[in-house]
Amino acid sequence: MTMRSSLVLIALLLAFALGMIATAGGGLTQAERPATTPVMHGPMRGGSPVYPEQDLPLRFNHGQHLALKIDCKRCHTKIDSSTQVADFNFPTGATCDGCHGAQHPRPASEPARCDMCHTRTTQGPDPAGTVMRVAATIRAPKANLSFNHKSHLARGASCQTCHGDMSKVRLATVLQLPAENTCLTCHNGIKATDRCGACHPTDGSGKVVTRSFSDRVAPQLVPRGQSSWGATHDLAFVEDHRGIAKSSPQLCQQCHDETFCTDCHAGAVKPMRIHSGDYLTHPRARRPRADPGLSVLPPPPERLPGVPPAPRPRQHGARREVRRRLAAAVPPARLGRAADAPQSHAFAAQRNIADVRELPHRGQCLACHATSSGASPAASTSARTAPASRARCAARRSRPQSPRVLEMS
Amino acid sequence: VATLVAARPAQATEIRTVARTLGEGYMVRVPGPEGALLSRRRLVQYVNLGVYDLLQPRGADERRRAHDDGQLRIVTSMRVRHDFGSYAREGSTLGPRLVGSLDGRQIDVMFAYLEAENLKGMIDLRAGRQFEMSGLDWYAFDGAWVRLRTPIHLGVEAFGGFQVDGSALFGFPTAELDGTADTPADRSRSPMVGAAVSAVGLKWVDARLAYRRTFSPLAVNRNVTNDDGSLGLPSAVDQEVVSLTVAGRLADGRLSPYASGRYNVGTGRLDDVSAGMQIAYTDKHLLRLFYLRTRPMFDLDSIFNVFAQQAFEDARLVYQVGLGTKWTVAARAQTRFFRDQATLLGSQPDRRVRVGAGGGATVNFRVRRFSARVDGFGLGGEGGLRAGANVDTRTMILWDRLAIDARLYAVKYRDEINAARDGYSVALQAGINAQLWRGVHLAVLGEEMFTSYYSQAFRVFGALTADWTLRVGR
Repeated sequence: MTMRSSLVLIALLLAFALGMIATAGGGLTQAERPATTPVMHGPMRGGSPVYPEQDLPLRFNHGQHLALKIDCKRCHTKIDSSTQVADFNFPTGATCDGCHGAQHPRPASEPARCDMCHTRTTQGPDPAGTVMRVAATIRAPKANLSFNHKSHLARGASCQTCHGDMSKVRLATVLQLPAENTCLTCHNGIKATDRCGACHPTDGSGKVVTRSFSDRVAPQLVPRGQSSWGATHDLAFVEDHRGIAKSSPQLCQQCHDETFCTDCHAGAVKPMRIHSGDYLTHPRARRPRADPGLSVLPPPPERLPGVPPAPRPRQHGARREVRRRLAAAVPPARLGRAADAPQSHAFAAQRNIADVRELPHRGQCLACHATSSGASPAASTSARTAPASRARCAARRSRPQSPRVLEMS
Repeated sequence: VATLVAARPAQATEIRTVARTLGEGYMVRVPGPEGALLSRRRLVQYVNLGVYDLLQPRGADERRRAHDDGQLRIVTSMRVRHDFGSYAREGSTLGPRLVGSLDGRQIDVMFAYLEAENLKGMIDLRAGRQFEMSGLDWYAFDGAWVRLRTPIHLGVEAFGGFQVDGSALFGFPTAELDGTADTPADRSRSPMVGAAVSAVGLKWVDARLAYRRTFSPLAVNRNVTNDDGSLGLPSAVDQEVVSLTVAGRLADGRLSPYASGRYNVGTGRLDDVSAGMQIAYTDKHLLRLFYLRTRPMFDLDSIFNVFAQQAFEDARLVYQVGLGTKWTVAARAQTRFFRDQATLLGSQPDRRVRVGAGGGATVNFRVRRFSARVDGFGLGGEGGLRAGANVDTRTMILWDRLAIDARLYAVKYRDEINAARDGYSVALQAGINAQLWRGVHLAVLGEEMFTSYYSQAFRVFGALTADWTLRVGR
């Protein structure tokens, strides 16, 4: 390593360290980036990215209570004023006590009846006798949503609108929380906004937060099935995402910023799962055309230093020489195919003219590929000698001769 | 620093910094009597800075300004690269030659723009270096984009500026290599203008009709002698394209068709078409049909327009089913079309259409702390045959802070034209991905590869990422 390289290395490391120092003590942090492999299908615990797993060790019957004409708000007392999902909207024990007798707290005269509602209880010694204790209480992490009960109720929504018919439900679980399709009946872009960030939490950039800041096995928020607009992140989505990304780029931009795209498409390091092994030495036909390709592995063997060039036969005229050199660069069978077939020399030339290294000067392309009707009409594939449409002719007339072409001719 | 200072007056400004350092190195021993040992090491530094929430919330009880009230933000990203070892060369002449790199680029301003969202409830705006990723193309330009959203769910867009020069990231020759990289034309910025109309905020459809015209840069032609002997060529149309994109959501989302097409006015070709249909008749079942037909687009004065006669054409089918919560199975079929034609060189194709067919299957298993994915595939008729299998696993340990990755990739290929290109490769990878702190991740991955091309190949990759968000002034 040269002295200059060492200095550059040190400078880059210092820049990183300064960046770390400048940002130390920050608040929220983001999740890891897809540096090496998509972890979308990696380890994941249960629950959904919107409604985390709950543990409700309770015994309750909504249907039984509703049959007694008990209004929802009699138990969910603060629902009218709830403005965020972090609000605790479960009925408290004291609320239950109104009908079921005092247990929260329990007067000394009252016998313990914990197991009437709580399913996990213990019994332990007590100076006054054996008493019952609650062994586990509910665990209900807040939903990863932006939601306001107050504003929805004020707009005329009822409990049934979102939670469905509770008269047939015993203990309510996440199954009684509204699914996305339910929300979209009103959030259709006309009656109410259908912007993803209206319900799903967003970060400062306005992008939807798709993964937990610190929980690496939390389920990720990804488009699924009927709510995905064709962008279900299935197992083959990485290979096929081009179609939906072109057709509806704003759909992707709801969650992904530019960096997410450039990580793979213009990243210094290609994702290894896709560009694995000696990817660049696979036959050319299998390589995506638009892949710059030179970032991970060295050039294919035919361009490696130390590999001797093909022996040169005698020269017999310019045309034959061009064909010979092309044949040296590309197997002869490919020359007979359509000029732009992936097996052809043109394919290699489009990627980088230097690839066709047996051609010492670009002007030799013109021996076959004329740039005007006055030159050799050897190839009918020229867009200039065989105009395909009036539009192309008009465009040709309107533009000046390229300096590149002038240089070559 | 300037951004931090500028952000100070806002009371709820959020600043996000991302510092990523990527290191890569590999050694390859070439077969043959020389047995040359190629070594390469690379260091890449990304620095992203975003300043968000420049406008204060209207309500006193709001932590963040409501979307309907509009918002301003600044987003920037820069990349510095340095290559060591074989193949390195001096940096571009565009700036100081600070570092060496493989392709001459060294410092990329990937994007840097001011974004306004939903101003006055109807205006979206971006100004600066930005990407456009749409049916038109995927490229970067320096300029402005503005969209006016009308009450009838129709957006009217206008954009203009200069396409980034070809030596920059997502400059035109970079995204679509045209063989003319590193010419004066590539290092000049082309003026461009465009306009579009789009559907906005509709439940059933997302559509956009866009037009873009790019002009050849004057700087390139200034010293070129014209046919009449005059010096300097006038600017003219270099690219002219129209695109139409549509995506739909039908039958309560069970059917999701989408399509995009780009018509190159200059060459008179429909040079990019993709169309697909996703059928998700339950949450567990998915069927996708996808057709792709594309050909590279070059500047109209590029000689490589004469090569672009045949499109890359694919038809694909994917079926996926979820088996419970742990297993997912997918099958995939693919057909690639090669359309040959007669040439005046005297060559007659054996067949007008050659078809390369292939397929594969994937099984994915995941639980709380372990996941595995197995892929098997075979592709034939594309000048050869390629078949192989991949296994990817990830195991989480140490309270999910450390992930252990183990992977195996094996592929065998046979070239029908050149038997010398037949071969195989088996790559074994092992690595870790650790969460060192909140927002700080370290990934290290090593690969030993056994292949018929190289006597020996080893590479190692490391990435250290610090991703922070902090709110200032409140």
